[in-house]
Amino acid sequence: MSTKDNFRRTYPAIAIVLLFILCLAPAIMEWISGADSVLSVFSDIPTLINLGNSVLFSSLCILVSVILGLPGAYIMAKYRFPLKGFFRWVLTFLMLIPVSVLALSTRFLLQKTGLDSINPLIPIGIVLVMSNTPLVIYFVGSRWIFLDDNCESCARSLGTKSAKVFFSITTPRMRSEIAFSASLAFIRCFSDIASFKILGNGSETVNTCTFIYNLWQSGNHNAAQALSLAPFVITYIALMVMFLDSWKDISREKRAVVAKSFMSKLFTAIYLLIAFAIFLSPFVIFAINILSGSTMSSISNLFGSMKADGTRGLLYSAIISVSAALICTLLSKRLSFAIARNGFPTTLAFLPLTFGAAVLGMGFSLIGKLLPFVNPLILAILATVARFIPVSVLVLLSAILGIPEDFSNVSRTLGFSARYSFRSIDSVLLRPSFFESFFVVAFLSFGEFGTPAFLKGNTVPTQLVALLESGDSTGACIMATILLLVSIVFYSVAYGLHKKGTSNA
Amino acid sequence: MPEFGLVCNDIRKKYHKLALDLSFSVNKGELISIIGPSGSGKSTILRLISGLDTIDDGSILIDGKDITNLRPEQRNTTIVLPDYALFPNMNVEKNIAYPMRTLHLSREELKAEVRRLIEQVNLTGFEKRTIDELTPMERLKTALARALAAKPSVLLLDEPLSLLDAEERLVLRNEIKEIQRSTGITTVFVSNNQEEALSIADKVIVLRNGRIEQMGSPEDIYRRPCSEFTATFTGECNILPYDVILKTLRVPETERSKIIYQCFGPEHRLLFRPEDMVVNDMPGLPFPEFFPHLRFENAKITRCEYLGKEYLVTAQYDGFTIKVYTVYKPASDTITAGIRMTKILEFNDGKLIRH
Repeated sequence: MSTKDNFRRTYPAIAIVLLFILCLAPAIMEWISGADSVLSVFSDIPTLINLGNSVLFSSLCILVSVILGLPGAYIMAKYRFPLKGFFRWVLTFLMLIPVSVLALSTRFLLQKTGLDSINPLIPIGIVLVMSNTPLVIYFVGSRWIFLDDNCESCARSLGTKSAKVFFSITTPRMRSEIAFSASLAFIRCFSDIASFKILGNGSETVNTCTFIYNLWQSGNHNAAQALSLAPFVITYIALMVMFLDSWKDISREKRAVVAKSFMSKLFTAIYLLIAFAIFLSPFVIFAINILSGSTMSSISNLFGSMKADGTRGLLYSAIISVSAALICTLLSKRLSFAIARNGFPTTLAFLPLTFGAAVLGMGFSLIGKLLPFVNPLILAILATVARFIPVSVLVLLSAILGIPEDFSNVSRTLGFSARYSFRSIDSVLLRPSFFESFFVVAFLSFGEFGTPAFLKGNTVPTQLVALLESGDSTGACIMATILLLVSIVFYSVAYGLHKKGTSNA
Repeated sequence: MPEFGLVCNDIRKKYHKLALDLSFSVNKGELISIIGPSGSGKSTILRLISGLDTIDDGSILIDGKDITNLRPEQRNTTIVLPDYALFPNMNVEKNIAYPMRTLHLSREELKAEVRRLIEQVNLTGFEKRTIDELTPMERLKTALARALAAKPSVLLLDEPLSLLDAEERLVLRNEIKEIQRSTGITTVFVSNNQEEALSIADKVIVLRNGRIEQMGSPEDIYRRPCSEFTATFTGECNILPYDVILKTLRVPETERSKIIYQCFGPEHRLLFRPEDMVVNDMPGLPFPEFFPHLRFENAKITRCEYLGKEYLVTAQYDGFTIKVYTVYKPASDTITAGIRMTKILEFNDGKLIRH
């Protein structure tokens, strides 16, 4: 016997169906049409070497990010110091800022210092480490706060040295968070195209995803489609690693602040100084470029004399980012509900991560060819939605998990339907996170290069790369400035909402 | 014939390792307490009655109406959970007014009803406070008022006093009883505190591994426990093997064999409460000669716990351990205590066979 509770099933159903359609339809279409070339592509030795090198390079970047990020995570979780709030702001901003902005800043830095002849892999690696170290600090640190210190205190009282306690007790307990952040960073590194396009000296240095992009741009569509299977399989493995362990063993009971010795204070100060210097350097370089005469005069005429393409790019970016953010957030609310309340597998909600910009961009491009009456802008919006659903789920899921199900249960026993209970209690509490998700996705999709590039979309990041390739570095700088300004505004709003959402949860 | 407010008829539920299988009924307007060890299924019963969990088999009736297949919102039961689950996006007043949204009351009627409920739970002056600003006791009162606002047929209280300190528990349990009496709402009260459950309830259910061990009035549960489990779970008790009689029985010689061989069998165990024992903790004073009784002469004290108003003394007598309450701290390391035969319960294989 059972009481009928349709709300739990019907509420997330539409989001789950759309998630699969948005991810699987383009991917299947793409792989079917590229099936003929699979054998030839995967028997090509240079391609396979490139694939192996891409995996190795991404892994190396992640290793460096984790080594640099762990002490930062520990400091952020356990220490109080001046400007901590600002540091956290910068950290999360760097994690989310478009890679193209970081890459362009690094390119300017190299040009100014005369180091532009060095192996492009070094600056690309630096950009990827800079972008992903904050991610490790953010995810590991935000869980580390809740790890109670009793085990460590106990081990110390048994005579174990603090360094040994850190490596033998603390770090293993953080295994799941380290695996999660490292896998997420790996997926970001492996599927990155923008930094290779900006810093890779044309097509001289490419990773697999950039290689796919170049194949697609050169009209070799079948090979590109066939090769896109490789990043899918590799990122799928990374996704599996991401969810190896659950987070449930972390006690949320205690927030401990460790006792600080002189050495630990010194270490913290040195780490923070270096981190501040590294993390703020792109902004400094960027500011120098913006303040240079030619860029300033170009910016002053930004909305007056900007080329038609530029204005259109800005408009398209705005439409894509706002629409995608809205759809993503609406779908993610339902998906997060399914995960938090119905036990829907988290891995499936993160499935779009495995498809990446290449698969989604090419897939939707093929759908566009098949359905010529569909506006390309709509396809770009849908591709962006599919790409950023996991981000939106990540924001909303942590908020919905923090709201006890008892609120809805009590409301139901007070005579209200499950739908009304969710709407009047949970949804109200989720509101700040809902808007946070909107702004985060809007800001990320505004800076997204991969998906619109495959769809031949005319957006700010694609224009940035195109202008750079045509040698117009001032124009590229304007585009990057727009990206940076929009990012700061959207991100600041999202950050404020995040604080409110966290307090609600 | 009493009218039943709640009937649980052969309800079964498998829940992880717990297999719930029980039947009970509560008279209309009665307050029933459910006690039992952790994991015995106390809170699960409330979730089943409220419809938050579904039963595998059986039926639940409220005021004679079968509600087994109804949704939680259709059952007219309200639940107060251990953490009270007050809505953090609403203040005290709005939390209490929340259930009245379905009643389509005018603004004045709504205000008057909220005011009445606030006065009923003694929360006047707290109307505009947010949930963060309330103490656990005030939170409980708000949760109670909110539950009453729904005008439930059955009120379910899941360990409502567990977050309060000892003094607050005492005050609130009296208030809950008072509110329940004045409103006449059939109430199921789950508690992890035996004393609290016995003091507040009209009827008590002792639960063990998902089954009812005993159900009855608080006095029955305490004074005539049907099993050793109920006896030990509801309070301190001495459980001794049968052969203690041979060594401690004080009775005229003519009646000795009759008592030993006719009343008790060698496979039986004896149970009595420490507070029923008569103590002589002053050496030199004669022990009261009441017959027949078991006397533990000069038992060696092994532990003496101060409980505030009395001492709980643990002593050894010829290999047997006894517990006894004394008002004064024993002056020596021995104590003499006795128990009337009429106060002794006799158990066989854990079940009561004679009292």
